[in-house]
Amino acid sequence: MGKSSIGLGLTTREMSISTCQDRKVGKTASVFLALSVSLLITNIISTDFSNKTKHFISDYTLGISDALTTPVNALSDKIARVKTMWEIQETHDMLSQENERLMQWYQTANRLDAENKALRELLKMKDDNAVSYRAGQVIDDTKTQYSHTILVRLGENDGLEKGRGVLSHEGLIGRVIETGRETSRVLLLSDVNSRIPVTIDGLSDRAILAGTNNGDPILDHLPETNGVKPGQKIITSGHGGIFPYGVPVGETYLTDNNQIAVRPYATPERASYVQVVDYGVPAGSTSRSVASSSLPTLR
Amino acid sequence: MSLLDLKDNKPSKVKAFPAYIINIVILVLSMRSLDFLAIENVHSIFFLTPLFYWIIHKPAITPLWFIFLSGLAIDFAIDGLLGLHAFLFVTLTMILFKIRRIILSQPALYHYLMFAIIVCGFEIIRWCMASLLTWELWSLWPSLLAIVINIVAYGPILLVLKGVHRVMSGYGR
Repeated sequence: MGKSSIGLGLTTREMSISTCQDRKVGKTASVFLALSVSLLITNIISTDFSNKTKHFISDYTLGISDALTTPVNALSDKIARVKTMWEIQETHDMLSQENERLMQWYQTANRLDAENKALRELLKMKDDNAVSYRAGQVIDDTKTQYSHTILVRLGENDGLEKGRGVLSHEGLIGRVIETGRETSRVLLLSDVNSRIPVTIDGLSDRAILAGTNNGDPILDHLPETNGVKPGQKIITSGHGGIFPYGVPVGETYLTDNNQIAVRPYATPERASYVQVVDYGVPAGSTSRSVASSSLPTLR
Repeated sequence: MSLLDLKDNKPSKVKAFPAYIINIVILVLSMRSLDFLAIENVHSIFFLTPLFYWIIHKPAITPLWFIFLSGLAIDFAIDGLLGLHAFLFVTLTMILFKIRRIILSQPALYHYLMFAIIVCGFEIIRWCMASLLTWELWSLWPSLLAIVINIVAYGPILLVLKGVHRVMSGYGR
């Protein structure tokens, strides 16, 4: 044959060509490795740069991500629907009771709204904290061990700015942390970087609602002698200038290690659309604009 | 990839099309995290199975640029540290390239064992790097559960990959 053969039936010539090619692959891999390391370093040094890059790419790949996530979301919806079918009777009973209770609240709210308007008129109060809403579709839900954010199809083109509050149909879910041209990233209440100044409804105690990335957020920086009990309503305190006073957040409960946690009213995983709210709150303001906003119509 | 793979093993793009589709589907699945009753946000990288399989059996299916972009795509999708998954994938590819001939000559059980070791290593390094880079001690439970899920899912995913491989090689006819 004239060719010496080594293991796996390869000739020495083929082996040397293969080793040569392997070295070439090694070089290419080194280039990609260097690229990923430099990306990692850039990410650590300048988070702003990497966030801008991410938004630039997500703005231009909206169509692709839509096409990729639509079947996955559709499948998740189908699974959720099957789960709901099992609990339909229970849900129906619960909703009927809730509806009755809400109707009573609606009557009360209507009466209070009329009274509020009349009193404002009487005092000649100027309402300079008008609330404006913008609704947008949730295009990506990235709840992983390391970060809890969602991507919303609303961006600078829609007049969105950093720091705006984000609500689902159930309540407060987070705030806008990055805005791109077409999309924005929302930091959820459960993210470890989320800090929202809150207060306990009916008490003067203030606290910081801190995300943990592991379950519900907890109440941090509570005074040592506080009157917080499980089942109390948590609302925003208005400090920090992002949310006005009184936006409902959730209810308190005690965790296994005796920490006071908050079960938010809203579940972001269930939200397909969210509202980005501009409360028109200037930085540092603690104005009570929620109470003055007009009531939604209950159907 | 060696010249042998390029010359003799590289399938035509049409034949390899199902393999590309499967890779992309599994990549998309790797971008979602799973919630369990006790542990939330378990992020299993199912893409490790096709990565392991194709590098061992048919490296031409997963070129380096594709592996790098897949890592970046996961980083984008989960809003994680940009470059972390890309770095881990490329490193894993380099290691697998070095030892693929050894693995290839071993029985299936050995492949499974190797995959389990790789998944453990991958998740632990991912956890260490994320903890170091963000200076935050993350819970280990989601990572451990991700390892278990990945090892359990190896079988079914492998069956699909083998099926695709058969079709690609023309044995299915």
